[in-house]
Amino acid sequence: MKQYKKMFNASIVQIILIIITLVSIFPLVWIVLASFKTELEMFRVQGNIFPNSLYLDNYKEVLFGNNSRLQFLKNSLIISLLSTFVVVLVSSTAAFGFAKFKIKNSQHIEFWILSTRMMPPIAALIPLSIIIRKLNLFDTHLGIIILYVLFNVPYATWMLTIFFRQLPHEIDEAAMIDGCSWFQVFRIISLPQILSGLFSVATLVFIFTWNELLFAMILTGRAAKTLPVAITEYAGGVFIRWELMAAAATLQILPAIIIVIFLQKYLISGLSLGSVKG
Amino acid sequence: MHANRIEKLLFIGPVIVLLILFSVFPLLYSLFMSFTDFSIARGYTNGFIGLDNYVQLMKNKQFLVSIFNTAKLIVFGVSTQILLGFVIAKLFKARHGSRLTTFLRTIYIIPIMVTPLIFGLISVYLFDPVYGIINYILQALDLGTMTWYGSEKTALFTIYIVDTWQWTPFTTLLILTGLLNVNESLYEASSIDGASVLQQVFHIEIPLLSRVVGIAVIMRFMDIFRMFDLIYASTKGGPGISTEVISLFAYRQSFNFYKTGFGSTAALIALILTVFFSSKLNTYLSREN
Amino acid sequence: MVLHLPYLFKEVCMKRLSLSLVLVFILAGFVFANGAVEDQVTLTAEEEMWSSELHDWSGKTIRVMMIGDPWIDSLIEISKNFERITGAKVIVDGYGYDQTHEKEVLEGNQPNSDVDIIVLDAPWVGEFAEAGYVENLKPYIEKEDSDLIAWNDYFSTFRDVVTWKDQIVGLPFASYYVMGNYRKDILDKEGFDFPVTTDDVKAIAKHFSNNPDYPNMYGVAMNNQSGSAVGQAFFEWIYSFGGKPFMSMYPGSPDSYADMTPNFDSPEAKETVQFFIDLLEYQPEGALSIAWDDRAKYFASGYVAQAFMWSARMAMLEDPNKSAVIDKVDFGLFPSSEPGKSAPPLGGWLMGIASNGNQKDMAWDFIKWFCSQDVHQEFVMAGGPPSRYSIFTDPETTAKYSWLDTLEDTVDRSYADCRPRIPESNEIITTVGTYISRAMTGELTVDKAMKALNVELAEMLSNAGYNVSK
Repeated sequence: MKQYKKMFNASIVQIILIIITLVSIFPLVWIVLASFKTELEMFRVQGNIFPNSLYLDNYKEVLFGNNSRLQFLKNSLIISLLSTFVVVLVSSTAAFGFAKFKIKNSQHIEFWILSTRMMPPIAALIPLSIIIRKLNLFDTHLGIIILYVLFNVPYATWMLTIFFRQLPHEIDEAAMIDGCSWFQVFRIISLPQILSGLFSVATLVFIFTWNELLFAMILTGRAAKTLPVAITEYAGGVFIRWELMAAAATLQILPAIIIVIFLQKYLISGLSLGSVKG
Repeated sequence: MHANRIEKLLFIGPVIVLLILFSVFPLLYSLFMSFTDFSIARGYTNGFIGLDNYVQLMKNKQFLVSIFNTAKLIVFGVSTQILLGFVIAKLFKARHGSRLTTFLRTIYIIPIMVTPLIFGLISVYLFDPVYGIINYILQALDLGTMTWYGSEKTALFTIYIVDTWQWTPFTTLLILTGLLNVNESLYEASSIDGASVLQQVFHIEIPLLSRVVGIAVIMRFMDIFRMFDLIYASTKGGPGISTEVISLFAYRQSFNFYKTGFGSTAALIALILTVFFSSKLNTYLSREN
Repeated sequence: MVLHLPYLFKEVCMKRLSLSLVLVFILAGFVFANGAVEDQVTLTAEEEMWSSELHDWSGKTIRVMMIGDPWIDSLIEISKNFERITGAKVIVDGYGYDQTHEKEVLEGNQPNSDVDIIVLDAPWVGEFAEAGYVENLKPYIEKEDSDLIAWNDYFSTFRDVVTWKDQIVGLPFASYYVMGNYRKDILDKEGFDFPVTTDDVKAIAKHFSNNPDYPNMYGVAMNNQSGSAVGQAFFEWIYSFGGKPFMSMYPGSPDSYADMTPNFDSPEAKETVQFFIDLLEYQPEGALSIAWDDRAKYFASGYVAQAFMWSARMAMLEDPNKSAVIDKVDFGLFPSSEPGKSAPPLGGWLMGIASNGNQKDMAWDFIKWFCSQDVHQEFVMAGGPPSRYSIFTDPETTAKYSWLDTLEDTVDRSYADCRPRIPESNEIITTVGTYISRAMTGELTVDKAMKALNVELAEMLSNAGYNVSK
């Protein structure tokens, strides 16, 4: 009997979990389905979830129409990939330093790093936007990449420091006795060991830059505009093109979904290692 | 570990420079601008105006309400997300190990990877009082409808619901990780001693989880404090000023009204509040350690 | 065998490479030949005439910065003809409302700009003129053949809008007017004529709300959302209530900005706000956050009996993909508190030359071409907002759009300064909107809200240098 009771409890929990998951992603499922609806379908019938047919015109217009968003999708891709690359580069070297060297006041610096994540972006935005304009970097890929690097390096460094701290010292010592420089230790020994940690951080940074809105909105015009900004234009206030917005939004969340499904191992270790500190 | 000055500098230097550029510099610049009436469109009109901006800000009802609203969202949002996260994490832990559970967990956390902007835009539609599906379902279940974003009495509540909807998976994940790290033997030992499930929760899990929960609290606190995308996508501060939040206020002053000096003052105050609260939380965390 | 593989591979590669190169050349030849042939064949007679009038801008690019309203597609479509005639490529960027303003201001403050043409909104005229973001088009116009420009063919009220202190800020090519939209089918069924007075509006609204014969239907949808939505709504209705927001701002005023003493606690102003409040109960749930788009969608999906919308939305009502009320809609003149006093709101977009751009001659070529009568007619046929009287007598457009006769009745009754065209306009409207919203939620009484609004605006405007009496 006890066994049956256990099985029964187990199934109940399973069912509850299924329901919870479905509820959690319901909005996203909805928007993907909505992207295949015509405008009228979206508004005419209340409680309409499934489209009547696979109406592809929304995507056609978003990607290839007169006011196509394809360029902005490409911009987002380029900017996110490059920013991630630079961030990982810079923060891994710094994290290595923090983890292995005795740095004065490293605790203070770490707190400083953490506090930048706490800062409301709007506080940094105003002065930085003035600077970016003065440097003629407004609406350039370079300008946004610089900003994203600035914004993400602190957090990435903090996370990678934790990863590096977990590595054993003995190998480094052995290598240095053999005549390796710190750079070589970094490159040949430590980096490969935390590859999965690097990957986690890279994933998180990519997602963050892919999703970023405020900076991109203020600091891009047409050349470097990113996809989230393009989406806000569909919901501009006076004329809202819901059906086009649904298509554009689906495109925007696609990488996020793909990354979660295929790279969830890295994501989770990245997100939670921030919590299970040393 | 021994490394000479130059090596240390090479490794850490760039990041320090970045930090200064990104946190110290804007801080100083904002501070400077908060004493002027600089406008990003019109330049300086009167130049240095001393504490005028601060005085105006303190008198500005919209600003004060924005602080109050932000505080409300933080208090209710964080507590709900932690509590819900805990309950759901327990459920996930109970079925931990089965492939279905792992699959569900993966899907479950997708919302946190989506930009809040899009979640907000979707929510505007889903919660629309007339053709939104939420009201439709409520009606079907005979639970009556709600005005959600449409009324000043319920708009902030709706923001709270949407934020919780998107971010509970995050707290769930953190807490789940913590729960999975709890030594199984502790449970066994306490059952032998006759402890009930509830007692286990209070005496084993909560103490061991306090670090993880602390981090979850800090992160959600910071995120809700900075909330912009969701409000911008949905209510833009309305109806009335019921969903005005600090970031939105500063943004509107600086970029819609072009009163950059005034906006900087608001942003600066937000910054100071952030540093104040985060240092408090950080000391609490390190003490816990 | 292994040794030979790389060699074989290379050989195969080379063959493949040469084959593909040949294919590419053939394809390219096709494309270019086709292009050349196209160029020659598809210039219409009209366009031939234009190509002698306009200069050859082959290889150049014009950049247009504008609002992302739906007719941007029509504009882009028509602009392709310009490319065929002159060889210049036209790149159009559309943004949301706030962003358009913000970007145009920020861009205008730069010493140089890549943007050649700026499309700006009516309330921004004073700001842009004073700050010098756009060229004064008067000298450009004077150099042209007056028939080509056909200045007097533009709606008179919108001509006034684009004129600021002797400057012409832009060509008035995309004017918006508000008309009443009604569900003719159900109004007829219940024996209602379309409303002439605001009391009629209330009566109809009341009848169709909570009416068991019309389940799921409401009487009206208005712009109630806090901030610029309801703020603009106030400026749309106040004149039709016979009121004036500021002492010198009323239809027929010699100088709308002479005396900017706020007048929001006047009986007419309060009546306007009360009108908004009274209508709340006849609107769909969540009425307080209805803005332009929801209002339009509610009407187009058949949920409300009446709405008062900008003419730019009319095309949507007849699109089967967007409207459930095709053939059920009728249009009428904007209502007023008393018959005959209607002062329909006016707004819209004008096309100007960025003064810090560096291709002004080409920009002018585009503008004068795009806004000319013939091209404007094509623009309207493609979905653009009508802005010339000649549209009312054109057989094609009158056949296509049934609302043109109402529009004709509307255009000359409007007041050019219905929304202030000064730099502080946005702040004024948003402030007005915030206070009205607070009155509508009941947080403040109408009296208190309007008094407080008066005080705040008086301070803001006198600080900005306007004439405000205490």
